[in-house]
Amino acid sequence: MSRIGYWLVHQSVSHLIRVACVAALIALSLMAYSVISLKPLPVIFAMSVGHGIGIFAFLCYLLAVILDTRRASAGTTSASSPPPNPAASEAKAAKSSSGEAAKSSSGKAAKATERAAEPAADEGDDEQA
Amino acid sequence: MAHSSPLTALTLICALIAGSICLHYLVRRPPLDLRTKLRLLLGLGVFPTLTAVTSTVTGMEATTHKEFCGSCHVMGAHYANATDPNSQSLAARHSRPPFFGDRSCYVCHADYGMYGYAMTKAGGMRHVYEYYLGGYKDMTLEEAEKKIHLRKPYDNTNCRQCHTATATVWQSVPDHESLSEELASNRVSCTSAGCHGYAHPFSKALQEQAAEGHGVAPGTASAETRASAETRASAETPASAAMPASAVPGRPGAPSSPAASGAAP
Repeated sequence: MSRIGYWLVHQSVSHLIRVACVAALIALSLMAYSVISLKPLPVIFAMSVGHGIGIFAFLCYLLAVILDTRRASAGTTSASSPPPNPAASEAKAAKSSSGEAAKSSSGKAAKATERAAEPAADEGDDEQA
Repeated sequence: MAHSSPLTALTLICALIAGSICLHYLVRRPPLDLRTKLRLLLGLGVFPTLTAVTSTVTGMEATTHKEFCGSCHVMGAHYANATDPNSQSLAARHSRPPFFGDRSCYVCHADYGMYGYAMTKAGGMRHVYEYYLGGYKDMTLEEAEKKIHLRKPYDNTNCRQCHTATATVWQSVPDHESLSEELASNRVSCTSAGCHGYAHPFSKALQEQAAEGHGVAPGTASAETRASAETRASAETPASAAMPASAVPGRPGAPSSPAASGAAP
């Protein structure tokens, strides 16, 4: 069961809906056949297997809608968050190490790097704001 | 056995709409926007639910019809006897009233009470199991007739759903009055040989012969047994007591001649 659940969650939304549509068609045909041929086996199959497949189809659809909504919201969140800026991270690393660099009186290169990195870090903050 | 009713038509229409929505998505593959999602909600949720509900009601209703009971070949003789216009058996006479005649198997064999419907359907599932997995499917009709029997003694309450024991006509019968306690406690069956006779006398006669160890040859011997059992049952059965009120001669809506109404001489 968990394997099926894992498989379902990791499907693409359109694939899940295709599965739901095919399952619904099978369930509908079973149910329609049961009212055309009112004999014990078709009626029992429609009421057990048909209903089961129909519920599975609807659950697949619900899962697809939930996954689509979640992926859409996740996409929006990732778009609004600042993109990783290599220059800024380098600058931060350099900033943290600048104290040590100043102590060792070789801070000229570090200050130059800091100056170069500051505008990039400001840009990222602006985006966040 | 096709069944045409407004509910059947509704089932098919709902299935058709839902199926076309699903097929449209599978063929066209439209983008999954809000409109498509809502359309799929109809095709995968609303219309299939309607189809399921209406097909279940239709199916459950169909299981109460005697054609449904007779669709298994082992019930062929019971069904043939019940639908025989010349038969005098209780089953045949109870299959004639227009009010419940087409559902006579269910009306007489369904458990009475609050959970009667559910219990009867559960019993029906056992019949299906016995038929497909219990060996009845492969039996010949002659073999099955000797073997088929009621799982528990027939409950008089089922008879008294219609033939109320509080009516003056019922109480005026001396045997009813003297046996009222036994009848109420099922110690004496309404459908016993000394009272109104067996509902399916041919099968009882065959079972009795099988129990005595006399093999019944299929064909003429079986037909003779059936005929004698029918005659015995009709001779034993008091007509006015065994028949529904509408079928008793002299009452409103009754046929003119006893032979046409299925009454015993």
